[in-house]
Amino acid sequence: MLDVTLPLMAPSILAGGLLVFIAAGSCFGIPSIVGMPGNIEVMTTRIVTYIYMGDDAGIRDSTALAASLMFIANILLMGMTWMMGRKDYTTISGKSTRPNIVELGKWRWPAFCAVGLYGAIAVIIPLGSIVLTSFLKSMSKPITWSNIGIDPWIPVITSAQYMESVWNSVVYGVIAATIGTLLSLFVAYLAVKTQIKGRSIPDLLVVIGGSTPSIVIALALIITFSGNYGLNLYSTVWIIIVSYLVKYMTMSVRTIAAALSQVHISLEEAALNSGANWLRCCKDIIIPLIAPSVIAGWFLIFMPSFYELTMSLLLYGSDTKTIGVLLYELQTYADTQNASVLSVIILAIVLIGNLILNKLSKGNVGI
Amino acid sequence: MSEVRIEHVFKRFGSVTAVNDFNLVVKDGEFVSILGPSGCGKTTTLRMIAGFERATEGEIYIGEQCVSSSIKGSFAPPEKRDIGMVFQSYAVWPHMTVAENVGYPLKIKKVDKAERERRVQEMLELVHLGEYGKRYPNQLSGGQQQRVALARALVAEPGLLLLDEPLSNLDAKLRESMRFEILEIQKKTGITVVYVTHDQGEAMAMSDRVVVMSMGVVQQIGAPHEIYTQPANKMVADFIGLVNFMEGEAKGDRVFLKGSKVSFPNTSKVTGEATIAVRPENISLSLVGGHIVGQVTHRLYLGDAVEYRVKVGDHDVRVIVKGADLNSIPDGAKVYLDFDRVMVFEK
Repeated sequence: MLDVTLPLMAPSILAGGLLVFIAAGSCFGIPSIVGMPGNIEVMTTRIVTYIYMGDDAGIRDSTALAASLMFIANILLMGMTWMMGRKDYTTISGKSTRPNIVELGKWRWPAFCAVGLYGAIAVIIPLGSIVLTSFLKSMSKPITWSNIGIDPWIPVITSAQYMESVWNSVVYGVIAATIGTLLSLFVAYLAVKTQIKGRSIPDLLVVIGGSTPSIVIALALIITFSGNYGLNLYSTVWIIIVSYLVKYMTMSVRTIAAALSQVHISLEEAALNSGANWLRCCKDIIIPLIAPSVIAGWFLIFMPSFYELTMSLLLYGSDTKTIGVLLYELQTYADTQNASVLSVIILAIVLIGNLILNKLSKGNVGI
Repeated sequence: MSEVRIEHVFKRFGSVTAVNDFNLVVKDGEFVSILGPSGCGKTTTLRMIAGFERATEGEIYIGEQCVSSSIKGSFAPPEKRDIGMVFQSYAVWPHMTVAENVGYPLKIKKVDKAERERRVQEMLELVHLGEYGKRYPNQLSGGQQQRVALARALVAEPGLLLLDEPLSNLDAKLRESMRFEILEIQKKTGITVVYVTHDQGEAMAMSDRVVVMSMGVVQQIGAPHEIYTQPANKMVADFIGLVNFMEGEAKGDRVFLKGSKVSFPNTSKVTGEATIAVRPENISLSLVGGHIVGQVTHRLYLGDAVEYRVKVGDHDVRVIVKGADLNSIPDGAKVYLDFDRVMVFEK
């Protein structure tokens, strides 16, 4: 264990730590909602503050901060990718094998408790309170059975304004996920299955986009698509969808590329040898083998796009308000009740998506 | 069934010549193995026949069809060649049942369903998997998966069957029994076979003829016994079976073991320095008398034989004596050797 398994896992563990570090450093939504009341500012919230100042100095300062944030995140990620990349995988080779499972023995219960405790503190209690809050008839009264009901849901569900945001998010998510999955298929196929020169450049660009903090992407899109270069997408749907694509395509490309690279070349050659042409081979062999990953890739774009906050907040227009923005506004106006109801709706949709994702990828990917 | 003709085929990858002037005619219904160490170009040759690689130069014919020609600039893609192929990694499709795997070539040919099912069942019976049609590949052992691949390669009744190291992922015992199964199937179907392997035992046991390759160049083509008893050069002698090499010197029609008066017929008409080669089982060992003197340094018990290491001058000579008693000649004993079926090569 100490001599073999841990050293073998070391790059992965380190990579995991780095990922959390980068994700935490680039996160805007959580520090903004949790930290603002206590006047705790982090890099990302400061960038938004500068942007909201609206003048040239504000844009300049925010750009400077954003560039350095992007720099740090990308350097760390590149290093990590390099470290992880020094391995070779091909697992679906037409030879089928079974994984082995470690028997925990007497450590079973302590391990269960540790994981359970973490789960309770990090996930179950906070989420439980949101669900509970969403059903409280009155926030000021204690939690009793008589105080619980679906009453708080009615104004939210019947509100045209709220439902429009929910609908917007679903539509944008679906559009982004569909375009993104098709693009991902193309990029992944190019990188994994062809010998064309520069085949991995699109892949690299996608990775850079994905590792760039949301706030930086949003800022970059504002500067680029405000008509400075002849194309004005500002406050249209498309600027939001482009931002989702830039940020989230990397996950689906990775998932699809991993699946593609696991399809051993001999599986395709056997199809050609059986008389199938390339298209037929794609249809009968490659697509069925990677289908779960393609659908998983779709959800990997849809779900984060659906509840995205940072970029939507900076890019939305009056007709393109998303559920994330709405939630942020409600929280800022201290409308905890409605915010909770909306949160529960988001949670439900994401949870269902995750279940599908888990089922499809046999537990390999999820948000 | 098809004859295969390969004429002056070259394959170059950049500055590396993987296959250098390959010429071979595989007769209708013949079983030919291409044998050689890894990286010798044998798999590249097979992949050129299959159409997965395009020959840089030369012509390949399968039956009447010219599938690849550098002169005409023509090239038939793999799906347009009448070939069945079995891959080293089995390459059975994990998302299809055994019957679907085997039936796939027929589905592509739009054979109707009833006919397809009949022929798939026939093929599965042939490879002894009659009961396994509804299973998925991950429920089968390696040997069974390889038989599925074999059935799939044969189901469309191609004129030519290519096998790329089909047995190298199987354990030793299974490998032996699969040899017989493949041979039996070939006998029943009469199909032409080109078989690539690095295992000389496999090649010798199964083939009508063996092509020995090294570093992209064909070293010898011949029946297994020819390759074994009359190897064309040192490389072939060394690669097929065990062999002792000793320095020699050619004088006229005799070749002398260096530093001795012992000589053998100069069968290869070599001049000057030469290499004398003799197989361990063609050496007799005696405590009493013989032409060459040596001293036993080690003995290895092989069950049906004993292998001796005998020091002769500077050489460490391997001698294998069938049915010998391990204790009849002790370590350190002075022994007399006689060489039989000596081969002579250029130095």
